[in-house]
Amino acid sequence: MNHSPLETAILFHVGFVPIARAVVTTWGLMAALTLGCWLATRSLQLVAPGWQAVIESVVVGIEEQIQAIMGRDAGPFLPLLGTLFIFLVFANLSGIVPGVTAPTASLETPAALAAIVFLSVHFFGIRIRGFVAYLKGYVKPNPAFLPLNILSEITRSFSLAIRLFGNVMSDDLVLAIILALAGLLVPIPFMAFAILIGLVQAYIFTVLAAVYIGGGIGAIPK
Amino acid sequence: MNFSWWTFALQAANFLILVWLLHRFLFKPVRAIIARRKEEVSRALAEASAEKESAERLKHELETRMSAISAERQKMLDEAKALLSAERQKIIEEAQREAKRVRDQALQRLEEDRISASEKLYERTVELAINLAQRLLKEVAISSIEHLFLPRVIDYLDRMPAEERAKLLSRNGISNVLVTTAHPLDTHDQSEWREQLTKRLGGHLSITFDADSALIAGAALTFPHAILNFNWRDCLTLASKELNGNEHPR
Repeated sequence: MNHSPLETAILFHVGFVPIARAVVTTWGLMAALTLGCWLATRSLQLVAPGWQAVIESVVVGIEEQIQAIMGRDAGPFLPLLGTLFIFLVFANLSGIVPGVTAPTASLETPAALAAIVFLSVHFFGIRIRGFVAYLKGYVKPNPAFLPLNILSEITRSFSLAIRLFGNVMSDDLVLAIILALAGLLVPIPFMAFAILIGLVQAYIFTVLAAVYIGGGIGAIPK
Repeated sequence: MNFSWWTFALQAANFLILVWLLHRFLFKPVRAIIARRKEEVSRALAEASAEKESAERLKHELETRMSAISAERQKMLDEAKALLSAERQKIIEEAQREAKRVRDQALQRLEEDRISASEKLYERTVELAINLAQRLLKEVAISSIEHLFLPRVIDYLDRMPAEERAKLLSRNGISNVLVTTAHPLDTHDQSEWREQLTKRLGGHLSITFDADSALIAGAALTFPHAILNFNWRDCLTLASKELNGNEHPR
């Protein structure tokens, strides 16, 4: 890490569009995940072999977790929330690979994810509850709470993005500093800690997204 | 610190594309295979349940059939027992009837044997009595006793109707009459017999005389169509017939 973690590292431009390092890393992750998923699921069997059982366990685990949080069928939310969790896990952990910077350590990525969660809350809320019923949720318990509810919606999305960005960025920064200062073996505990932080942050982000969407559809009280 | 909106937009787009890709290549097929497995499990469970139900029904049917068979067996056993009992009773009754019949036959045969023996004994007794009487009469019968029988013959012929008496004789008018006596008659007695017979029967008689000690005493008149016995042998024969002809004492 030879640049400020608060600045966006632009690798190249496509026309007038700057392509940042985080975007390239994300493309790599997308390619790897897509290829891995395609290879893993191209010949699924009824009697699952070991690798298929692991994949099924991951998917079923995410689905059950979403269902436990929302208290309803997780089917409509699984693609978004499941992808969110898997992408965050791989994105957060990519930072421990030498020469790779985690995309989530760049503010634009958590901000984009938080923005998608923010929009998803409204999308699923309106789709499931209806437009009027959804909007009525902002004037409860009485219309005086409307500004506070709107402010809450915005701030929690900001906090969602900043929390993820701060944790991952600081983790990468601390790891870089330790690597620069200490020898070869000293950073290992910090790297393990970074793995834990990455998994926890992915889980927290996904769970909070599920809670927000659940609140939006009325399954969870706001 | 700077914030690149292009990066923000690209990351948002990347993420949405990744959502579609993972939905297409991960969640959808995995959920599909899980759903299919659940369906298979449900179908297998349904089949197992149906088979279990079928097995239960079959078991119930078998139990019912076994119960029916048991009942039928018991019924058949009871019927067989009743049949055997009836057959045994019938055989016993048949045997009792046969025994009674054999006993009755034996008793009847014994009775018949007893009667036969009694009859034989009676006949033998009669025969002995006749023989004894015959022997005794032969001892007491003397030649002078013969003239005692002529009045009886005369009396018999006198009481006989004329037409009956005529039947004794031959139709051509000449009749041979043989007078057989137990003891030979002398000339005087023969003349008296001839005279008395001619007097009762008519004049065309050819009377001859003979002697037969078997008569014991008395005479036998032999006509062409009849024999008149006035002798003790005939009496004894009649007595014997009379005794044997009567119901014997049992």
